[in-house]
Amino acid sequence: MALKFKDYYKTLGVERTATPDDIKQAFRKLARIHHPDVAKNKAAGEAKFKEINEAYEVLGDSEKRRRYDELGANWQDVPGDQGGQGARSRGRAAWSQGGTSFEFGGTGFSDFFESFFGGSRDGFGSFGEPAPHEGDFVFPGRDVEADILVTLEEALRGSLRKVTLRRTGVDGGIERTDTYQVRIPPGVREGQRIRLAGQGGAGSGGGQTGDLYLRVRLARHPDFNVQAADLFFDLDLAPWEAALGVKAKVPTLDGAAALRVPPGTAAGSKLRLRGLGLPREDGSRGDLYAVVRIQVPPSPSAEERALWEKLARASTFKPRKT
Amino acid sequence: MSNFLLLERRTLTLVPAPGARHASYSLEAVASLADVHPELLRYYCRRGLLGASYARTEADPVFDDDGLYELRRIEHYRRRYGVSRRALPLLCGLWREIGRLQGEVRFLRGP
Repeated sequence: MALKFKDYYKTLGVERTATPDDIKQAFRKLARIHHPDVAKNKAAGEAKFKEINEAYEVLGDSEKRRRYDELGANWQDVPGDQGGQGARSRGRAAWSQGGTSFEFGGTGFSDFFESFFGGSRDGFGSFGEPAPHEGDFVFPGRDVEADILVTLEEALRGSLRKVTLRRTGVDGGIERTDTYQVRIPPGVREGQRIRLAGQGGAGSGGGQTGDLYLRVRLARHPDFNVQAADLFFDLDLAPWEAALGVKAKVPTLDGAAALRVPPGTAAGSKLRLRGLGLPREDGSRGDLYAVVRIQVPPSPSAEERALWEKLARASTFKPRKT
Repeated sequence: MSNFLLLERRTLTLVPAPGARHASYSLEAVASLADVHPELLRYYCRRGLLGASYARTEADPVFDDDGLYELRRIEHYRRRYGVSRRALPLLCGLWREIGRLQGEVRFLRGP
């Protein structure tokens, strides 16, 4: 199956000269529209959300973006030792082991992404090595690894995912497609591996079959950043809201919550909403932190300016020590 | 020989028992799955090669899928590339540090 080039700039609707901030803003805007929880057509929204996430995974990372830009129009001519994982697959989201190639479906990542920007497969499941000569020794089959994109909602509640694995070259040219119903347990964390026993590469000389590992990549959420089981949300406040206090509405994975911002809250303060993060392994839940950012009116009216000036004259507050 | 391609389509369903959370393995089970002697695995645990989160208690370690993966990776590098036991802490430390830094970069990049 021929690999299809992905125009990530087009996916995010930005120019090739876009700054990292432009890319982030475009991602957030689109992710809010197509997030599976808010999209009118859930299935289509989910597919689009994954596409946007994939594009942001590449363009939002300066190193990956540089590699992607270098690929350019001649991406199919990337030689064997360049272009990261793409080298091995050369036009396929597959890699081979002893003449067997593997292609995944349903992981949330396209063949193109898997080929050029897929996770590290340089561990013991390395696919670029020569296969041992069959019959000489007993060799266990290699472990096969693929990334699976998991949304925060799935990480919160768990889900069942259908993943397909197409192998070509098994037993002398047979093509085989296996479909797995994979249970994503609640509380999965970034980088965690889910093992499907005995579904990897075939062993030789009577060796055991390897395992299939799915490595969890948490999808970027337009509002939340994740650290372990805790979520972080940027809470924008007007200067007077920070100074006087306010009751702000904060989105959570369980719906909106009201947060009381105390008077005199400084920029960078973290206000905790206990137990509204992701599940931990012990069954408890992490916290949601609202990180305060103070936004200044970009173009104050004459009246606003007069009031700021009045405040500046009246205030004895000195923000700088020197 | 013809270029005839045989096609086979199979469907497997692998769903853990309802209510089950993360997979967990005893020391003996994980040693058997990675084809190492349990004593060697205990040695790895004592040296902290598998990380504290995988061997949760010293008396009765329990491993998850990541623990098994890491053990198999260690064994692969030891057997295939001849990495010595003395070099393993360095290698495991680097893998762990890379993972930690990747997580940090990802967090700092934000949504």
